[in-house]
Amino acid sequence: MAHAAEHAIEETTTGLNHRKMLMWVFLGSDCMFFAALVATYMVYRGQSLTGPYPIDIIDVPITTISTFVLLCSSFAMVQALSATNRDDQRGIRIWLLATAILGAIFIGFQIYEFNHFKNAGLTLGTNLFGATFFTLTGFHGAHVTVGIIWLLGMLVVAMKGRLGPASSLDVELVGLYWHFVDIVWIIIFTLLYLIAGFDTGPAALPGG
Amino acid sequence: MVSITGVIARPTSYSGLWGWITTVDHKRIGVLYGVTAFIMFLIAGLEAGAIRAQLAQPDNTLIGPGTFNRLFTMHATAMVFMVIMPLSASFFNFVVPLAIGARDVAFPRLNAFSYWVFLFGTLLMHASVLVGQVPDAGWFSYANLTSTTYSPNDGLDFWALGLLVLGVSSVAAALNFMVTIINMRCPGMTMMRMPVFIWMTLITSILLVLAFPVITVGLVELVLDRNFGTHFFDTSGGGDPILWQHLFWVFGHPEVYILILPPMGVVSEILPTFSRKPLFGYPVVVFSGIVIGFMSWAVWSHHMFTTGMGPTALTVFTITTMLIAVPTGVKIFNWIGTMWGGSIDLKTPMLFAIGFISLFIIGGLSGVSHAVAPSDFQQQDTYYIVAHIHYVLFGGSIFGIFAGIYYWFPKMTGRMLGEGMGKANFWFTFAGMNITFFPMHFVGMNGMPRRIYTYGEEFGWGWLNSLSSLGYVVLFIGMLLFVINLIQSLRNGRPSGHDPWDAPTLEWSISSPPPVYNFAEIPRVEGRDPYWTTKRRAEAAGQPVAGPEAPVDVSTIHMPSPSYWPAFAAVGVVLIAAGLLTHYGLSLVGGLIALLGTIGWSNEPATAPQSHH
Amino acid sequence: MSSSQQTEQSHHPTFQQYVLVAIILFVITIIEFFAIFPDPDLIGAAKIPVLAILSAIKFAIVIMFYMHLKFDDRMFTVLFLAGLALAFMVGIAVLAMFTALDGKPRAFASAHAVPYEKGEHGVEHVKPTAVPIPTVPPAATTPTESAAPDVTATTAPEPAAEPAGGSGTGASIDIGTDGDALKFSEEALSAASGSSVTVTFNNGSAVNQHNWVLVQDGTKDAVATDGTAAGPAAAWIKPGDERVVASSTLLNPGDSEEVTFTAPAAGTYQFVCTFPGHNFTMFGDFTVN
Repeated sequence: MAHAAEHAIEETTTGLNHRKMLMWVFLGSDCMFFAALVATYMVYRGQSLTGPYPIDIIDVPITTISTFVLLCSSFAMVQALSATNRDDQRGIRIWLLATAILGAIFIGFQIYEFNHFKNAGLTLGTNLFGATFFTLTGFHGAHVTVGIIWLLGMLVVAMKGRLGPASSLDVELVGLYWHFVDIVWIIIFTLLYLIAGFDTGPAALPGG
Repeated sequence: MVSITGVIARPTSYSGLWGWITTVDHKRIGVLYGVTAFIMFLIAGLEAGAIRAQLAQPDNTLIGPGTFNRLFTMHATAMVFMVIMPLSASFFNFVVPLAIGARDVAFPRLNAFSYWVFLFGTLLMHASVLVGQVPDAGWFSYANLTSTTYSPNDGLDFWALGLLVLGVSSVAAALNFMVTIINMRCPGMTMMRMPVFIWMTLITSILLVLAFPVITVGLVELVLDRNFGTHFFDTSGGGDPILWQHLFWVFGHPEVYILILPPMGVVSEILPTFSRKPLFGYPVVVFSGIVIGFMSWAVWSHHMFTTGMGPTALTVFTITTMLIAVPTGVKIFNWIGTMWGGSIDLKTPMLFAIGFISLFIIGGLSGVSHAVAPSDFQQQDTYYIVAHIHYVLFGGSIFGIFAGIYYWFPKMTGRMLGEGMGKANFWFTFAGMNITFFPMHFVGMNGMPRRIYTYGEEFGWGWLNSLSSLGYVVLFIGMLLFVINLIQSLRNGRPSGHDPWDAPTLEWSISSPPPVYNFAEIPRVEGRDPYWTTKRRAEAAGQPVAGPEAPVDVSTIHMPSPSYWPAFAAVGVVLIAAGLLTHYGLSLVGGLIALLGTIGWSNEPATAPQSHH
Repeated sequence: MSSSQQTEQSHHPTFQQYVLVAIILFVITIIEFFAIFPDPDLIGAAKIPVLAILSAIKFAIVIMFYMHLKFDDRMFTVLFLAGLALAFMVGIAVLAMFTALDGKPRAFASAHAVPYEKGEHGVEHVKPTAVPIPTVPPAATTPTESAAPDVTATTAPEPAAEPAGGSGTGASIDIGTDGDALKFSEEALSAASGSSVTVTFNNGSAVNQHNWVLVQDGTKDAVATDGTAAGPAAAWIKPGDERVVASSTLLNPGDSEEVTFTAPAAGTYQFVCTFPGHNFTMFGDFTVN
């Protein structure tokens, strides 16, 4: 029967699943992508010729809240996987939806922030801070958005009752992607907000 | 959603154009890559011909400066991204599953997707010719020449977006091959029993997935600078053009190892076969490849010695670059050791492989002279570098690839490429290559800069340039011979049988061309060179050498079904890029197509094996 | 399906453990927040290491527990860490390239750049004022050798030739170069304090630009270093450098210039050429009596 043949083919040399391996390698590759964006930001830190500078517009309290939101979403994601393994159908849908909603709230915060910056006079082309900030956080936001779409897709599948222990890998994969996006945010938050968020113009870089 | 996949029935047949568009068979995808890349090779070769025609004499007026810039830009960009890489990909696709005893790659639809994205990316890049806005800033497009001030037309946007699309293709393929090699080897094939070509594919794939993201960032920043008012590479806004160079070469140096490692792997397969002797020092050759992979990340600024980086950087990168010559040299000694004492059979694949070694040594020697920063200060941006590039990429990569073509053509088609024509092809190419590029060492040391469309007579470079251009004619004849050979052999080449070379690896144990399922029974291996083991054992036992496996009833073997989603999704990807060049609405459409493609792809019946999420 | 799946489930964290991880993440974020807000200098220079460590902890526990890497096959760790480690190292390397040279790599490069100008057809060539490329080795009648007789002929500054005492009579000193060696023709000069001194500096070399700068004792190298940073536009001397008593402009090969100044207070001084790199061998002592 095709099923038996499928199992035979799914046997892998390492015993590890192909798709899970693909996801981890992809995430390693994505590290390089964000590293190059972060490196561009750090190279140009303090080099903007005109303002606004970070200290003028970066809002650490608000972004701390959005960071919390994203951390919560990771927790929700973990619960979704847990529910899938337990075949808790209601739990699967609730936690997948929660993850997506929390992700959307994070994006909402990002949109609010981008808008606020734009009104304060910071756009992509204003200065190096604008260019590097928006590119880095913009790509991060794009990754989050892709994740939200993926989660909603999974939610649709869950609504049809087709997610369960047999398909836990599918949920695990979106989970891996989602957590990765979260840890990239941890780095962005620390560097751009906590450390460089108080940068003034090129004259001095407070705190080193 | 059943309705999405029900709109167009899932293809079931393998025949006709639709069969090719929907194929997920790695062998067919390999053929697609090979044919497309070879056509690009001919086109880029003709571009080179125009360049050589213009440079054949001083103060020539055959081609103006603008056209000349476009020619060398497209020639180099095509050769690197649309010829050598996809030709190597053609081998990855065709050979890897066969050589590791697998029935296909880990993600057959992703594999097809990679090909279609490559094709569309190539078309996008060349659409620039149709609209007369061809990139002209060289294949590495240094800032700030690439800013809109100095490159006002859309050429550089075509270049950047085309490369972004090609990058998607390469990364997807590399991810696929990493998982395939790590996870789909047949029983008994440990990592240290894999053919060297497989090792090189693995290392190349690792380099690809890690290097392309960096140039992706650079290209994105370039597009932003040109179209969205940023100043990443623009000093007037506080930016630094050198950042582009860093981002480009952090990718670019691993990229050149991506270009050379697969052909090195091919040569490592061919030398043992035609020396009738196992590869000398297999673990060392593998280890050297790994070391090269690691070190390729530590040398990038040797492309930037003349940019004023300061003595510390110059020293560090001189040392690392000189060190990376060591594992390369080790490989060469091992190849020579393989041939030493062997029973050499100078068939065409072997000629190209030996040619590879000799020409790569020359290219490597000039490379070592570049490694030393002070001497590079004289060589940088001269034809001495052009000589180096072509010895390693033509004499190296292309020769290795041709060796592979002659070697595996019988397996792919069931016919031999003509041996007499093949030898003629080799000798004309070998001679032509040397006549064209060796003089460039001298003319470069005499000060001839790169990327100039003409030069004055008073420099005395005229006769060496004429010689180079003459060499092109010889090369052209060589390639013509190859094309004739190809066409003739496809029509009525000598049938090859399953094992024309008495070769050591698994792909030769099945019919030529292989059945769609590759192996009727997944093989089990006990060491390296498994097919030699099988054959010698059978000989020793007095039994007939095991022939190709008898065809088995296909219905008992479940192969991945064809699918149109990869091509569909690929259309979406390229439309996103094309829309950025024309109308953003097109990008939106492309995005929707890509999204739809992803959904359809994911929802294809799960009973198909290796269904991609 | 595969055996590794069973091992995964046996090491699965519990609900409580996931909550604990979440709490730790929250707590660390709160600590980070209060470490830098509202006063970013609250913990001073410790800010960066503290934040780096805290965020590394958050990074690690999300990966290990939420992404399950701690309990999964080591292969996944290898695959991911390879990318992460490379990203980190390459990022640091690129940053190092840009923060070296006092964070002003472009200034360093500009300081060492050869000035160009655009000629006909936009073709760039080296400005005539810069160093010409030597063509033929100096023959018997080239400036180098003819400079030598000049130098020796003008090796006048013997103290005996100077007016004795510091009574204000002008002193005339000639100084040249030692061919194309990076040296002055004299290693010791002197003058009387308060007198009006005219130093005629002749750049007798064939290919080098030089200047003659009188500086406070012991400062020749510092003045030269600052001069290098000041760049060719400032003739390799930091504008307003208080250590400089008198100086010539930057002379091309074959040019001469007179520098007139009042000899300062008695003591020892130095003279040096501040063209980048020349200060190590091209200097001398100037004694004011």
